[in-house]
Amino acid sequence: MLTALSSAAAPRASLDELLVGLARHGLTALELRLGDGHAIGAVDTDAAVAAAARLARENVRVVGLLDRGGAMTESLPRVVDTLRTRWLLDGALPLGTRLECADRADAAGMPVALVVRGPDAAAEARDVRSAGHSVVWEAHPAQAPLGALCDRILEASDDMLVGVRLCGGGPEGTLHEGRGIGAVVGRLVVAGFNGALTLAPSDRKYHVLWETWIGRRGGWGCGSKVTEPIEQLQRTASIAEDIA
Amino acid sequence: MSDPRTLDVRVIPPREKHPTIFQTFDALTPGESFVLLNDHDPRPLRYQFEAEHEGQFGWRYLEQGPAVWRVEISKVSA
Repeated sequence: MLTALSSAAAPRASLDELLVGLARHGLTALELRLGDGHAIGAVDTDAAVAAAARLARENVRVVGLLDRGGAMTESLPRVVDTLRTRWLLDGALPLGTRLECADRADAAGMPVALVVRGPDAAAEARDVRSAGHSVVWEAHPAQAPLGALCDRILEASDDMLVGVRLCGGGPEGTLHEGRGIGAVVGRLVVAGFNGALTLAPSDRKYHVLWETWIGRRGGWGCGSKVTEPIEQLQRTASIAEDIA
Repeated sequence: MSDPRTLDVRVIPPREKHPTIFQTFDALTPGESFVLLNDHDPRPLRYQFEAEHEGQFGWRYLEQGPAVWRVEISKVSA
């Protein structure tokens, strides 16, 4: 099982900063969301070539190019091929749109996977599998208990499950105790899942927490540097959650 | 020439499907093939073949759903 970090965790982070975060936490792969600060897009193949060389030197794989729009540019297949990855169609897109996009990608010979999420994730996974496309499940603590849902996803996806986006993992983990994040990981291991487990934020309000976790921030500034940044930020995030 | 053997992956646990398929492919001699039997279109498998065995395999659909897919996968002669 590959362990990956989503650029969604720190949307302003450069590719180098994301790589520092991977090294800090022993992760071996990246999910690159289009539009984030890593500067790899669906149009610029030169940027993809440069990034691919950089990633190869670091022995880091790209588990997917996460796209919230579903617009297939002419150069996207080359970008995906250069990065030796797949186009990930975000679960916010309607299922019909994702399937249409996936069929177009397949016609262009481009590997693709569809993100499924929410209460209909298992049913969607079954439809995606039937259509012959790969599945990525977005596990979110709001869908707790996640362990039972994971069982349904594994059954519905069969061998087409290539990834799990674990929203609320990493530095958020302790904030979501009892919601089944640990159970998801356990079930994936027992099932022999050999795809990618991608750590991602559950909400934008945790970006500071994630940026600190990957080493992009040393503290809050203005003399507020902390000695135990993760623990303090988790407490802060918890307070922020309560306020929200 | 005998008919190629059939590998029915519908009855194989998910974790063992792809390893079994690639072991079957590895055991082929050039020019030989096997027929993969599945309950969905194994398109992602084809991408995996292209990534790991580029130019070394043939892929021919014999049946394309809606309930059963049969694909003849061959090892290309050198």
